Amino acid sequence: MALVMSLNSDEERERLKRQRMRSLVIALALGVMAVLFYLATIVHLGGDVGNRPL
Amino acid sequence: MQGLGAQGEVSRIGKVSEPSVGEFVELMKPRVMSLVVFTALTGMLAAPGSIHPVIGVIALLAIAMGAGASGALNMWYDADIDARMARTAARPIPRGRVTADEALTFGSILAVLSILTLGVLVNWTAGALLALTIGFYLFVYTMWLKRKTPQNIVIGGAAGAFPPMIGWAAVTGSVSIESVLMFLIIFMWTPPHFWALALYRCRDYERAGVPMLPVVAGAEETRRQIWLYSLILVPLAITPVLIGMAGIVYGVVSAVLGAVFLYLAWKVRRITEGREADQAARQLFVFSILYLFLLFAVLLVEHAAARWIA
Repeated sequence: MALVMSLNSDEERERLKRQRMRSLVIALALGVMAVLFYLATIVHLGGDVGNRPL
Repeated sequence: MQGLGAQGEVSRIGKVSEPSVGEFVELMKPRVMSLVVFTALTGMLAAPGSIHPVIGVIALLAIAMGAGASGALNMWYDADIDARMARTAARPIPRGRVTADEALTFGSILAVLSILTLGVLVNWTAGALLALTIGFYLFVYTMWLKRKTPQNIVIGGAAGAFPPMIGWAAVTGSVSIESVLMFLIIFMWTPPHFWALALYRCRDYERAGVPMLPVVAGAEETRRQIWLYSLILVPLAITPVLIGMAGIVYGVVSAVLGAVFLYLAWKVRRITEGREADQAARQLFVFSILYLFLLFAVLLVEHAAARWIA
């Protein structure tokens, strides 16, 4: 009985670890995409993007 | 016959538990993806004009994502076939590590994101070509041709031939004779490459019910077709020199490698019995990968060097 419970908790820990890792990678991928879209926008706007009247 | 993805029978194949990040990476067929990125990069460098490095990197990332999407959607639909073949039985869905639904969701999200990224941030010609590639690979090759006709990889091979055209279009915003030529080289390379594999994996395909040429028309006809396609491929691969798209180094490398390709294809045609026949097919299959890689590598280096000097 104790052995079964220990196996179950090991599996659960492993499952949670994988879930956490997946969430991290998704967050990272979304972050990278946001940065890429920002960089591409700056490149498309060109060098004069900062040269505007305030 | 239908794909597993359409039937949703994955639980029959094995236990499904929480998939890891690595298993999602496996779904994207990273080796195929690297070849796609490599040929797309060659297309970008061979194209006239220039692209901002940031936009160039974004284009390659989007193309890689599109290739990954194709891989995941292919594994979703073909999980039933994959489970029956030794070469593919260890893929994440037949192994029970990822469900068919997860693969479908993952592949669909990647496909939409990759097309939108390429279209919005680079240009819509490249975006449309990427959409065509993913759609062709999924609907025309995977869902339609693969299970219906021995010409599956001939027509379906177009999907693998698009990446240099997409790379070219990312820079120029158009399609031209040079990019069509790169497409044609990969298109003509695909049949001898896959039929060489199918010759020594014939039983695998037979068991899976995939009508590859050796299964349907026999080994002899396959050997003849390999030889004929090789005869078209080798001169075609020299053509970039003749239209001024490649230099003398490419010409020499293409001619020498082409001669080896023809020799190996001839061996496949002549040796028809026993282990030597399998050996000959395996040699051609392995060499064909090196052949395509070196052709595009030389083309890439020539154009990179020309840009460096200029």
